[in-house]
Amino acid sequence: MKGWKMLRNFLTLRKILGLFSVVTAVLVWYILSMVVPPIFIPGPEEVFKGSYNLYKPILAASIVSTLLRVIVGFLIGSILGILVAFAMAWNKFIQWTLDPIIELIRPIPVIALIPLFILWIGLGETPRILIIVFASFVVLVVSTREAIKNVPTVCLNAARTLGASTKGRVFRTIILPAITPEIIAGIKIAAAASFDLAAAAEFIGAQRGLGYIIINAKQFLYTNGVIFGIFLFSLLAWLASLLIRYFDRRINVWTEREAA
Amino acid sequence: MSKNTLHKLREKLVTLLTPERLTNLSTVVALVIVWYAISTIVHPLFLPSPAEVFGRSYFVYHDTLGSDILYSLMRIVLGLVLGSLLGIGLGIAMSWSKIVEWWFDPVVEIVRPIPVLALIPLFILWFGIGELGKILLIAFGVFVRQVVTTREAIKNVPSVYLKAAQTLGATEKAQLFRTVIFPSITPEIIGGLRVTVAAAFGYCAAAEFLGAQRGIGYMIIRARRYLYTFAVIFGIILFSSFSLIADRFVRYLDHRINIWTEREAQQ
Repeated sequence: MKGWKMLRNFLTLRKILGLFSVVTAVLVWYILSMVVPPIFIPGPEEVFKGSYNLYKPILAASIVSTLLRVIVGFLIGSILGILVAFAMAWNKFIQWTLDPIIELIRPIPVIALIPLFILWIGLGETPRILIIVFASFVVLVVSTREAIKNVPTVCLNAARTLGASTKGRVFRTIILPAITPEIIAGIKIAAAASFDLAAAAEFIGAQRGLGYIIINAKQFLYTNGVIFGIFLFSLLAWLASLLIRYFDRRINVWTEREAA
Repeated sequence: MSKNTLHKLREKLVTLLTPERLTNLSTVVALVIVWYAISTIVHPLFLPSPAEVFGRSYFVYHDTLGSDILYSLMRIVLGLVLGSLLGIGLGIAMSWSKIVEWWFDPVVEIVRPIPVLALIPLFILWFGIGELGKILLIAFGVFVRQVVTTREAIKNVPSVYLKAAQTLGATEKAQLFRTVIFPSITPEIIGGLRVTVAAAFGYCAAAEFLGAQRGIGYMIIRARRYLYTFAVIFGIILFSSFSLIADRFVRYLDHRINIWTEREAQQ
């Protein structure tokens, strides 16, 4: 009797509808795959089982390769971006010189730079990682700068009234904690962009990685492989976002936030 | 010129040339000078001079330039319009009806992490390298972003306003939506639109790199094969310029539409 009640409490209409929606989508997939030629819509089993068997030998290496690019590029770019934004807030002269340059770089679609980087550096790892570094840098510089600007002056003045005399003290005690939520928001955006760019960069002439699997499959019209690759990419991006959200909650326990 | 018109001219110049614009202008000028300087030292394969970038690109590509630009812009605009309408529409529908939300929530959450650019080969397999595939790709990317932004915006409407409206007699949902929610979310949605527009340019560029027969991205890829660095840079400048214009346009719309919002003095 009790178990039945627990089940009823768990199975809210919301969850049932949600489950139904996913099941329906998968069913639609199945049905479409039988109706439409497999080059367009292969069935779920062919996609997963077929691709897994085909790519098993290189799967681990590809995932590691892609992840490495994303992580290295993202970390370097983000940390540089945050540091530069700090430098700009610290020193007015730096801000005065860097500000217009950043405003000039902002509208450039970073993807458009890939062919240029390849022309400059050649077809190695560096242009791909560099693109991710560049994008993460721009995103994080802009978000951090905005975050620092948006610190309520009330808090700054209050700190000064209470005796925080040096710039360093004010920075450490007020600005850093205040901007953390916005920096994490910027990190989420940069992470998503990094995965996007890693995919695009790998499409244009890579020899390893998930993107290479995708573009290779496309060349042979192996739609299963293409979908499988996209699925893996999305999985990685999703896991990354979960990780960031976990850190978000841990670090920002003190923020005044409505229940997320 | 009489003293009066001279005076008026001076006033206009002073208001036009704000310190912000002056610094921006001077940086651009400085960068162009640096560009010239470096291009004379470095091999033209790496950094062609500004003259070569603009002059030679025009010379080599002038017959296709107009149609290239037009095609790229058309794809972006169509993709943006389609994606935004559908995205905002679904976002509003999900906030209107709980059933719609519960049904589409898992779908949205599953589709969200997909890197849009990773879909390009799939879209090429499905739609070929014609217009439809690219427009749909851009529309898809825009759609996913807009649904999320719209839902967030509606969630962030202070419930105080909704309760106040209900106290004042707004009983039907339609009324609440029309009078409170729509005006409330417009700033956030237009703000999100700026980011989405920039992203749309990125999607278009990537789609054109991987499979196109026309467009700025196609020109860039072709130029790269011939090692025409000047044309690659020219294409990047084209993309960036249009992206900048689009961004300014959205900002202008922002000011016009949101003239009633309580905003601190703009940056």
